[in-house]
Amino acid sequence: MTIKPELMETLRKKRAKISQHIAPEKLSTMHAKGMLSARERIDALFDAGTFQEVGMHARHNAVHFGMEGKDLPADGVITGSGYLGNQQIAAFCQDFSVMAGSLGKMQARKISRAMRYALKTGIPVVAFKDSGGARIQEGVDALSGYGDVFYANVLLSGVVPQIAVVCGPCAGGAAYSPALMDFVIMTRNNSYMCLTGPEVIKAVTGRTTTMNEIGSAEMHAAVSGNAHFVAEDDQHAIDLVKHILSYLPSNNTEDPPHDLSTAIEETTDHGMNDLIPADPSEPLEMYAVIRRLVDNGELLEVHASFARNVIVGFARFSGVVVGIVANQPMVMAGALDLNAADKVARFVRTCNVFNIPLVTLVDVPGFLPGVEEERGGIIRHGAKMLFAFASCTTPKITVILRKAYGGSYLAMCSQELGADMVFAWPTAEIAVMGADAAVKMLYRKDLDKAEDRAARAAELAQEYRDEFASPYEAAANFYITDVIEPGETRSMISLALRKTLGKRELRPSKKHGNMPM
Amino acid sequence: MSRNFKITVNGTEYDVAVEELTDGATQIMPRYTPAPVAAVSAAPAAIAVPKAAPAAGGGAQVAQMGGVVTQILVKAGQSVNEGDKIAELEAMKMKVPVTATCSGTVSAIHVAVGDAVEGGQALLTIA
Repeated sequence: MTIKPELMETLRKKRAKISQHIAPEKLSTMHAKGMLSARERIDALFDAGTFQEVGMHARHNAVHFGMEGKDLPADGVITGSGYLGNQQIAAFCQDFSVMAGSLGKMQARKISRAMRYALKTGIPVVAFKDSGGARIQEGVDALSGYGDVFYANVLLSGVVPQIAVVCGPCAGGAAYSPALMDFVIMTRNNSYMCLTGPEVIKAVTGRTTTMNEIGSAEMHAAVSGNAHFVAEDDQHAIDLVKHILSYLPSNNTEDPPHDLSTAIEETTDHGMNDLIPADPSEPLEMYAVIRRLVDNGELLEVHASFARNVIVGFARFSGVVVGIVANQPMVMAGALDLNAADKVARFVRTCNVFNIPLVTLVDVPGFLPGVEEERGGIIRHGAKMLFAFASCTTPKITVILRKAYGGSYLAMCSQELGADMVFAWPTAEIAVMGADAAVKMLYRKDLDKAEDRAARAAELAQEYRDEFASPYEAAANFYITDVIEPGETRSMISLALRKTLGKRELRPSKKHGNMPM
Repeated sequence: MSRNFKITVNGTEYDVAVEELTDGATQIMPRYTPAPVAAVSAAPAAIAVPKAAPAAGGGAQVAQMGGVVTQILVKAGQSVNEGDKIAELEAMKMKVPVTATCSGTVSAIHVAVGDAVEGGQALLTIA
């Protein structure tokens, strides 16, 4: 008994037709632009031979507008799962060469299926977005398809990591799917994302604009905050995906990939002292501090171009994966504003759902005062930071480097907001407000009587600074764990993390807290 | 790596070879550790300092926040490189450096030391 050769031949032909539908010259044009075909992206993501495709032969059911009998390879999306090392990943990639990657009911079913598979097996999802939008020939079926995908995005949120790679157009309703995921990577020259394009904006508002202005990768990375990473091309985007995944667990019930076999060296890094300017008004370069603290100086920065007055990203401390939240005094004096608050809150919540400990580095003069800030809702936005830190139950280690004033001190994960250990450098100034402002309020009468008001104010401010704008007042009141030498910071954080990894915190049971939005 | 042992069970001697398995041998595939990518390389110096959003209006150098101008470090006609410190503000009791967002020649200076400026206000123009 042998299988009839023609049956095998049919299968081979079908497979070849579906997987090799792009003409070689078309493919080389794409490569020249830094783009890969949908199948090449999948191949580049997974270890060779580990990808299993789901639904290769799936076909649309559309009949209107010339769709009947139309042959669309894999219905414009490749779905399935494969391995990266020993970690399984589910992935789907829209295929722009098939009817512009447009989404119809069958494509949406394939995508939702892949996502639900990820949910039940507890594995991350990588989504390549490269689609002209809804397949309008399928009408309301296409619309419904988007709804199914969004719903699946929300079901998976907080359970398994979801990473969107926007490597082509992603316009209209389609743009909401990346927005519902944990990380969005956009390729610099080939991707754009918007709800309505320049033509619609012109027709409705009369304003002339360009796709660059409203949808480019750089704009979303630096201005809107919709993109967390910008990749140079498709291959770089895939490398970034792998890099992000190397810091994440497969799902919310697992720990991130800590390497606890790493020894914690008990060394003092004297070079750290040189990074601290003698003048408290001179800004400190926070990147230089982070570089000295983390393993191999490696930081995977998230939202690097957005709200640069704060720095967030992933790193390791003696093998333990952490999320770092730090003020950047070189930009806007490190003051917290609307966007900074959003950036921090989002990152802290991402760390919490994936059991990643937080290390918070504080050098903050305050929330940014201003009419625009107040009218823009800094109270509502700043509250997100408080909410995110307070509701985070992973280990939380805070180091106060220099300034920690007023509400911003609390908002940078103080002990009151649940920090497990708070260290302060001798240069720390922890106070309710700056010395000059405090003196004006506290010594009003004294100043009114003074012969030389300015001299008396300066004298009182210095007294206030010596007494209260130091770490010792806070330490005396037991609001911080210890005052440490800057050079001891790395080993102190490493030890503190190792000790708090087993932390368990019970919270009242509820559907979810009502985070300000 | 195997080692030989002599074991006696109920008076009978056995020669046994014992092979030690390393931890790695029980693991089917090692966890994926990616090669460092361009954005963040292994070298400590590699934490890339991200660039600011392109300033509106080409060469206009704007104040990133409201404050008082304390220093202007360039003169009209002087050529500057992207990233050079060109001015300084004071805001929130902190010195706030202003760095050039592009290379070129300073064509105009719009403010003077001591001026109070708003966030987004043009300080000088690089053509």
